[in-house]
This record gives sequence, C-alpha cells and structure tokens, in this order.
Amino acid sequence: MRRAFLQLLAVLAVFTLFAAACGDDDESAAADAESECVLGRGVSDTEIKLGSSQPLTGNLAALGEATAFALNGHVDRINAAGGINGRMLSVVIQDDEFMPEKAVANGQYFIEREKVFAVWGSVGTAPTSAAIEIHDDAEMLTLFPFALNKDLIDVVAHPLYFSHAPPAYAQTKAWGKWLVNDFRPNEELRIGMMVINSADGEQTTQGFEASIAGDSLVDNQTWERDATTYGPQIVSFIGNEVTDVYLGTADTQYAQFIQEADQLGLEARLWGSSGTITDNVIALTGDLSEGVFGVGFVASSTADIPGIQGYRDLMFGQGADASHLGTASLIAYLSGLVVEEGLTQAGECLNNDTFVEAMESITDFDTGGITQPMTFTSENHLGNNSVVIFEVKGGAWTRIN
Amino acid sequence: MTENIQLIWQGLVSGFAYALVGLALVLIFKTARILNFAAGTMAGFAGFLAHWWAADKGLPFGVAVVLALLAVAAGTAVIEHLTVRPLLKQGFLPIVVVTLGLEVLLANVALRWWGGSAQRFSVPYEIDRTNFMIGGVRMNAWHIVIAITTFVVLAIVGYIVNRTDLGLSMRAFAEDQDAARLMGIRDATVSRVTWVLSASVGGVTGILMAPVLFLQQDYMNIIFIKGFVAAILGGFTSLSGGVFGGLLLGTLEAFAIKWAPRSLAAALPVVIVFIILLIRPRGLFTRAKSHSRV
Repeated sequence: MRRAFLQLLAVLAVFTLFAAACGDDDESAAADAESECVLGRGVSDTEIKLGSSQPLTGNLAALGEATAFALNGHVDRINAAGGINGRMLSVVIQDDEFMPEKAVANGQYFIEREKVFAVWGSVGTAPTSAAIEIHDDAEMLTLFPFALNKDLIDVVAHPLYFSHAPPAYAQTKAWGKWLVNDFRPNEELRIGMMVINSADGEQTTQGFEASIAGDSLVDNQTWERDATTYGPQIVSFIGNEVTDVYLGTADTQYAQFIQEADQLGLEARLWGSSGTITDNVIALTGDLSEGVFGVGFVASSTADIPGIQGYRDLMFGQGADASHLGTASLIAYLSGLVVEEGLTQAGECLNNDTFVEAMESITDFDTGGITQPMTFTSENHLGNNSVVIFEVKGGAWTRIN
Repeated sequence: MTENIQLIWQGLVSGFAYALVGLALVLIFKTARILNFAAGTMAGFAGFLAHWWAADKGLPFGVAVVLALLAVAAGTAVIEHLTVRPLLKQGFLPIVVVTLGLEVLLANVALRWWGGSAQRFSVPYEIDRTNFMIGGVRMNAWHIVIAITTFVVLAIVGYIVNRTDLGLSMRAFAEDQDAARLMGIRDATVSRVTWVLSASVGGVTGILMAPVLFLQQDYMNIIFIKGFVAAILGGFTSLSGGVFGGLLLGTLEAFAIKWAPRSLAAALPVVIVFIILLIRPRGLFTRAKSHSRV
C-alpha cells in the first residue's frame, strides 16, 4: 500500500514537473516574443516622436509656415482620435532657412537630442539632399519630403526614404512630352528654362532635354539664391525669342519673375514648377497671373474633390488662411495620410523594419483625388509619378490636362 | 547694343538699392567706426510699416511713407540711446555684437507681426505696373522713381554732411574722435544724428524695394549684403565710394548673369571685387592718409 502510494506520488511529481516545465516554456516563449519586439528610436508605449526640418525664416519661410500647419493639423487630428495603436504622435519642427547645412544640423539634432522615429514632411530638395546621408547613416526614416532630386528615390541607395513627389527630372520630361504631343503639336516651340544654379537645377534641365521636346530648348538660364532681380535672364529670353519659359523656383520668385517679365515685355508663356502653384502667386501679381501655367503633381488646392475638402478643413482648422494653401502644404497633408496608414499597418511593434514592411504593402492607397492612387513596393518607394498641368483662369489655378 | 543698354539699366536698378544701403553703412562706419548688421532688417521695417499704414489702416500713401520713416528714425534713436551709446567707448566689437543681436530680435518681431508669407506692396496708381520705352530700352515707372529718389537722397545726405554744422561735426568726429571731443563736439549728438540719418536712408531703400521684392520678413537682407560689398568696394569711409560701389556691383551682376559661364555667374562679381581689393586694399575711393595719428 505504502509502495503504491509512493509510486502514485512519483507519477504525480513527474507530471507536475512536466506540467511546470511546459508552463515555463509557454511563459518564456511569450517573454521571447516580447523581447523580440524592439521598438524603434523615438517610439515608446505611449508616443511616436517625429521631426521635420522647415524653412521657417528666410525668403522661403512661407513654404515652411504653410507646411507646419498641415503637419501639426495631422498630429492634432490623429491624437484627438486616440492616436495610432494607442500611441500619441508628436512632431518637432526645426527651422533650416532652406539652407542645406542647417538641415544637416537639424538631422543631427533629431538623431542625437530628440531621438525621433523619422524625419517627416521636410521642405526643400537641397536641404533634404544634404541631410539624407546622416539620416541614412543613423538608420533614420526620411518620409515624404517636398524634395525633387531623382537620386533620392533610389531604393538601394536610400532604403529608408519614401516619397510621393515625382523628381523634377521626371516632371520636366513629362511636361516636354505633353507640350509637344498635346498642348501645341503643330507649333514651333522655342523653350527657355531658368532653374536654380545647382545640381538639382541641372536635373530639372536634363529632364526636359531628355524629353521629345528637348531639341526646342534654346535658352538655358540659372538663378541664384541671393538674386534681387531676374531682369538679365528675361532680357536673354527676349533676345532669344522664346515662346515658353519654365521656371524652377518657389512661389515668391515666380511672382517676381511674372512681374519683371511684364515690366520688360517678355511675351512668352510662363510655366512654374510644382512649388509655384499657390494662391500666393495670384495674390502677389494680381491680374498679371492670369494665363500663367504651373507644372505640378497634385490636384489644385481649390479643386472640388473629397481629398482637397479634407485638406482645406484640416488647414483652416489649424488657423491657416488662403495664402497657406498650395503645393507645399498639400503634399504635407497628403504625406500625413500615408504615414498614418503605414504606422497603423506596422502594428504595435513599431520600428524601421515593421514600418518599411507595412509601407511596401500599401497598394492603391486612395488620396481622395489629390493624386492617382498610391502604391509602394520593395523596389519602388515613390508612390506617385503623375504630372498635373495648371493654368490661372479667373483668378484660380485650374487643371488643364 | 540695345540689349546691353537694357542690361545696364536693369543692373543699375539693383545698384541704386545697393548704393543706398552702402551709403547707410558708410555713414555710421565713417563717423563712429561701427558696422550696423541690423541695417537690412531696420530698412525692411520701414517697408512693412508703410504698407501697414497704407493698406491696413487706409492712410494716404504719402502719409504712410512719412510716418514709416519717422517711426524708423524714432525707433533708431531709442535703440541708439539704449544700446549703442553706453558702449561707444568700449571699442568696435561690443557694438557690433549688439547690432547682430538687434538683427535677430527685429527679424523675429517682423516674423511675429507680419508672418512668413510674402505680401504685395501696393503703390499709388499702380506705378509699378506702368512701363514705357525710351530709345529702345523698356523702363518701368517705379524703377524711375527708385533712380530719382536715390539721387535726391544722395543730394540731401551730401548737403547735410558737407554743408551744415552738423555735418561738420560728423566729419570732425570721423577724422579724430578725441580731438573732436576736445573741440566741444558732443559725441552723443553726433552718434544719434548719424544713426537716425543712416536708418532713414535705409528706410527709404526698404520702401523703394518693397514693390520689387515683395514684403517678406527678411526681404532687405540680400540688399544689405550687397550694400555691404558695395561699401567695401568704395573703401567703407567714402560716401561717394559706397554709392559708386553699389552701382558697379549691380551692373557687374547683370552682365555676369547674361554673359559669364553658369558656374561662374554667381561668383564673378565677388571675384571682381576681390581682385579690385587686392590691387587697391583701401577700396576704390579712399585715399591713403599722408600722416598717422600719434
């Protein structure tokens, strides 16, 4: 009897030990699973911290000011709805005056001091191109800047870079094709271009030269950041009898060019780059803006489509006025929608790997008509590659293609 | 030929602004040996104030301009009294640091007050939209206003400096501050008048350039930098040198953009200035003193 009792005890002991061992396995597996999830830099259980470098002072401050409205608007909107996967968003916006060296300094600040998850919605090709190296070195995501350098969208070189802005090269190439095929198929065109005197400006010109209209480029001018007049370039365009001038500038520079073109009697059609499609151009130049064109990649900020309605509601809800509506703030708004989708799909375990994987799985993302539906893959981090042409008609930018 | 004349005219229009800012900088440096790094922002304030009174408050344009210039002059007198004068005898560096601080302060005040967006500066009868041809050269009426105003300001400043007792005091102070004090010239008065005169010249420039560059927080900063180069070119102690330097720089820029290779266009005017200074380190219009102070 006693022996049987001892045998039963032994069996129970073995069973208990086995069960305990099994239980340990379950717990350690759960613990392992938890320890496998390493949250990304700037991500805590309650917060996702982002950074953004903007020209808040200097002659391009209007772009940064408008963009900040859109970024802060998204943060407020998302947080008011309970955040993303239980985490609140925050964004630290630093001034770079549109100067590359200050954008680099801001990048270091975001990495070392603020320890942000990603740099989001920054403005400027030159500042972004300068800062991308330290972002990459620190394995920090660069999300949807207003930057048009075609080298940035090379996934192999910059695997943590995502964009919705077609490079200037692609924009002018597409514009050249549209100009010859659709706009003036039977007209002899004499094209003048004025782009910023930099490698980025060269890409803009190269894009047009690579288009089927490339041979019609007869006058290739540049402008400097410290320019006080575009008179000499306009004199050259007049001398070369150009029919069309493409201007790779921001909106205030475009407005000044429109004004000076009138003063000097330049009779060519004027085509501004994507940064010029703002109400500010119309406000600054009044009637002179009637009939000028813009080459962009998002819908007009006054278009009657659901995406634009959401954009306007968010901007005006932040205290913006009509002068803040334009390409810069619109693409910042758009970037917020896509980033929100990526962060949501990345799930609770948020880090670079899960975010990139989530972004690369986004297919036909509906932007409410602001752009074509966006798709990202592991080979393509540029979600939008369409070009939209506008003309100022009746005091408003109107899409014509 | 006509194209080159047109280029010269375009260069001169910018050059007039550089010349006026150069003049404003030289006025202070010549008299008190101070560089005012806030000159550009102070000039921009005049443009903003004139616009504010004319467009927002509905005052007649001329009244708004006069009020803006008076406000800038009065503000400068206060700034001079509070920040510059206490440091007058402390040497060059402390006052330069003060002007740098002022620049940052005023730039931020402008940003807070008027925002970062560019605004149109409307002038009466849309003069800036009126164009005409003279001898094959196309001209804008506001550019003519800039040219005429520049010559009027030069004449007024020239008269004050060369023909009045105040100007005599300024010149005496510029020549030898200690000797001027011994002769009974009050350095406080000279300092205040010089700053106010300089700020007024800058203010006129700010208003003249507002319709050209649009009102932006720091729209006069570029003009200030070019005016600074103009003043260096002229020798920094010669009023006429600063003016000529500005006109030369504006014209050089216009021709460099049109004719120089793209890679050199931005740097060429500065390179030319550099070469001139290598040949004449004192600037184009400053004579070497025949004697040294003991």
